[in-house]
Amino acid sequence: MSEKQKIRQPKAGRTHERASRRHGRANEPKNHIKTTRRTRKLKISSGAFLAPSFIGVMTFFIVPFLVVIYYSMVDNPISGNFVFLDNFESIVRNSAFRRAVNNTLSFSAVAVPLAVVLSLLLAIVLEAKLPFRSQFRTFFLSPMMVPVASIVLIWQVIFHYNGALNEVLGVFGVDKIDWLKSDYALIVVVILFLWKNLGYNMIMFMAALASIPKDILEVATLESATPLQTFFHIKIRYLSSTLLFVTIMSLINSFKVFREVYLLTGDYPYDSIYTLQHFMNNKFKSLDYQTLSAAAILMSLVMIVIIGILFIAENRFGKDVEG
Amino acid sequence: MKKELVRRLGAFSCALLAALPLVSCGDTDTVEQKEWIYVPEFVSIEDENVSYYGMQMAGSNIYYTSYTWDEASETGTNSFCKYSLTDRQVETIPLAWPEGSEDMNINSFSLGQDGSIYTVTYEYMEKEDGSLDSQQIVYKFDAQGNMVYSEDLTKWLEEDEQNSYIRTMAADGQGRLYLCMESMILLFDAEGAQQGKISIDTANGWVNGMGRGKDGKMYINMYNYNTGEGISQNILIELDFEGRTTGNVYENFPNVNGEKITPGVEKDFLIYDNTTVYEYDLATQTKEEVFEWLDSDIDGNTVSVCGALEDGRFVVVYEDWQNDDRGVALLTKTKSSQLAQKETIVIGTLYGGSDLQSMAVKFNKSNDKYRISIRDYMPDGEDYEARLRTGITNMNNDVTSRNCPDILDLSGVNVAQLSAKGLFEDMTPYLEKSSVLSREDFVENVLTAYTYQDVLVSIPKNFSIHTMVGSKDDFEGKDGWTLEEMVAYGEAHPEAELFDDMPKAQMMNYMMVFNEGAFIDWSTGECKFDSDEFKNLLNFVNRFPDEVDYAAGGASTPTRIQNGEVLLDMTAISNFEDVQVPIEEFQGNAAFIGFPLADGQSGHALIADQACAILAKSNHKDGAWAFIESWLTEEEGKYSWGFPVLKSQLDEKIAEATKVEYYENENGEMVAWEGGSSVEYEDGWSYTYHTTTQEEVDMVMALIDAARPVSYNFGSEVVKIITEEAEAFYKGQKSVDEVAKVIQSRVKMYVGENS
Repeated sequence: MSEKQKIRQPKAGRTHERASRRHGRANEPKNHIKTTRRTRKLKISSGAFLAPSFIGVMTFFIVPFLVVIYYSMVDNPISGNFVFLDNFESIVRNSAFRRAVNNTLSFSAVAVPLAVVLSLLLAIVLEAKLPFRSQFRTFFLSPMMVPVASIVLIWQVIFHYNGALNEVLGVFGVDKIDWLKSDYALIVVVILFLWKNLGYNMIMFMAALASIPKDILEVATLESATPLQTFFHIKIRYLSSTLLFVTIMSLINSFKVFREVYLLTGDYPYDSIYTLQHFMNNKFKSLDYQTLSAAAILMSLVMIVIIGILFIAENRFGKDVEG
Repeated sequence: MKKELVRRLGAFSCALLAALPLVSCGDTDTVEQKEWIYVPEFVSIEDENVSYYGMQMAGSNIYYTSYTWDEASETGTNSFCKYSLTDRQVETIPLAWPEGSEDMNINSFSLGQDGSIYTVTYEYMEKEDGSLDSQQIVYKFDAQGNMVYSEDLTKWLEEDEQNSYIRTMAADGQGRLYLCMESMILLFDAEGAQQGKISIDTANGWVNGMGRGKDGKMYINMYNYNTGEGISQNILIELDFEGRTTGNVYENFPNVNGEKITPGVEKDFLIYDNTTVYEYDLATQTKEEVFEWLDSDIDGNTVSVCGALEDGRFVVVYEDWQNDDRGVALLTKTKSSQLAQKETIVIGTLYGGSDLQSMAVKFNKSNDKYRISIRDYMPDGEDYEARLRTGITNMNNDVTSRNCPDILDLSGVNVAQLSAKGLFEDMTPYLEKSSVLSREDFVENVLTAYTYQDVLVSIPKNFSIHTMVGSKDDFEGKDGWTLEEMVAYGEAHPEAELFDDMPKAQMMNYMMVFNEGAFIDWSTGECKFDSDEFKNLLNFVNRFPDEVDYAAGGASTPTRIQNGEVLLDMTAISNFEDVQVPIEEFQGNAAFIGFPLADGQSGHALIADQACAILAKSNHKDGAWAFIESWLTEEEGKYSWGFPVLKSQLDEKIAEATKVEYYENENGEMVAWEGGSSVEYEDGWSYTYHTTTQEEVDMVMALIDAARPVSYNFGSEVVKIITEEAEAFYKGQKSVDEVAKVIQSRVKMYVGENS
């Protein structure tokens, strides 16, 4: 059978299928039966090849997610009595949870935009033909390579009550500030987050900036467009997908900063840096899986909404960009 | 479209079905049965004078010393005996001591691979001035008892005070003898000629034991700590006879019992601890489990000898001093399917403990229906904190999964937290149904300690009372006091210290024992750690030293109290006679004032111990209760540390404590025996206990009735936060206001999370 005939076969098959339903399978042409068998075999073998990935996704993503939903609806992981939405009600009323949500939102609202904007600015600056450009790039990327324990050590040396920063401030007659155990703690964590993540975001933006078609920029220059106009009307449009990616990654990384904060301040830090992750981590340690699961589900719902908004925004601003 | 919807619904249903079995559903019947069990045959040695102490095994024989007392001639005779495990006969081996030797007392002995017998004896000679001079002499005899050589060890033992006695001895495969002291090993060749010594570096450790490996070489087991890296471990060191030095070092040798290391069967060494018998392989430096003592109905805490016969059976010598039970057991490897099947009851434990092991063995021997298996959650290792964290994680994983035990040993467990989740079975119905026990049989105060939300989760086996003691002149008419009164009392006596040897952290811990509630309102989540009361408390605790050097010496606590330098003492009462020393410290004028309480009532702390709980998810609750019932009614419970919770045993303990022993004096009169045990401090202050009086019993019982339960097992998070933050204030780095503010913030998060 020729390739064209094979391609055409489904149509004939469909037409013939209706006929076969009226007249019975005995009237089906042999070619169609062979094709159906081949298709079935193809489906089975495809399924077999997909099975390991499918099982992996089920085991490590889908099933645990369903288990979390289960835990969020029982009174505790030991007795397992179904309580429906009682856990959600109780954590919404919990003062520590509300404080944690407040702190997490505040931190993300400050740190994520700063991470995106500052890294974009850095990328634009480093895009210019500056001397020692690659050294500056390495300088900003190096915090990503530093182990967590070393980061904690560095931050303790700098921001401890008896640390380097207070020593320097003391020279100027400023009283010691308890950076990690006061309202200033949030600033310290934001600085830590920016220090860790600016380099990666900057590289992403630099790559995106390099991929903007040069001819369009030349046309804009010839049309007397100002640099700001070029930036906002052309570059931003081309950077929209990268902006979305960097924002999402920064949002995710803003949750990961818990690791350093936990090592710096323990289970129960000063209230200004007590985040959702502290709440969930402590609940896990005290076997309160039900509260932990409810909090995780609420957090994921918020994340879905935020990321959905970001996708819509990207779709709107970047829709006329080629490719 | 319809087909598509059906397909999607089908996939979702499959996912749900896949998820459900992964969720805990309480099935605890997941105990793995072992394929092989070493079944014991208890052997009786027909020798009424047999001494199980120091018994050793060589080949298929057990060697021991026997002491016979002749009433008629009023003389004693020491014999060296051999018990054959083959024909089950005892044979006395006549050791050919030197001429003129009388009644030689064998201090220790060892056996060679060829059956040679090595002994070390203490021999005393009267000097011209009438005093006694002692010598330590080593002898070697062949298997028939003929002397091969003897050597006077005096000159080597007098060289160095640290190495003045023989700790252990062993002979290698070539008949060369090694005598191990503290940090030195004396060497003798097969003919008895002294061949020098090997020095052992004990600057950072000590020798645990010595023995011959399967390769015939000699090894020592050392405990070694590297203070620079903060690592401690057991190591095995090969001894080089020819080189007079130590040889290869093998790290990560297990922490084992006994001073003897014995050759293995398939691997290099056969070693054991309180729970398990292992074989250790030098090449891989790993141990492999052979069997667990509990499976063979043997209490591993009582084992003194364990060796292997050529036919694959194991020989065990055990001595249980508490239960006056000792003997020899032959263990034969048997398929578990051939044994009578019993229902397995699993006990989960963090710390294990010799009492739990002993009780499990007793129960297994006596019960036809149930069998106890112990699941130890703490892994091996040297870092205690890391082991404890792992142990708690393992335990938490078990109790939230299908693999949960039937009984949980509550030592080190946060009982309140787990009880709030409904983990534990209420024991009240079991007490009501029991024909042996009832609630009224127990000290009610103690049951309160383990009652949470009206659920009696456990009945502990024993308890003690912790309290503060002061002078009656200062506390006349008072049963208790508040924190403010205590602070005021300290400030009113600036010339004296409140307590002796009391560091800040410990003082804060004691202050918060009953007073967390004064600063926390759990119902509203409000905290008052920024209040003036708490700041005053911080200032008060700041008076105490940062650290205490307990080895510094100086005047003892009783002396300082009697000199007026110290006002109060902390005391733990676990026996009726324990009140005597505090009373004597205050020269008969003691007042048990207790810990300060918010309401000013008596603040004596009741601390219960040895508690087990049945898990609500267990499928063997009746069996679990059977074990707990036997655990609580065990006759020897009254001899355990602390006060028994069972009233009948407590009454027996009172009777025992108040029983006056009499003896006949030279005038033929029966006189009360007053020579009790005594306590003596380095500065000479001493006290000799007398038979407990009824007044003292009444005093202790009053303390028990007034005591309030407190758990020291699980460290309070609140106290941890306070201790952590207060350090900056104690060091003068922060003001009390700054520290109080931070404590308030952090504790408020903790309370908010858990209220």
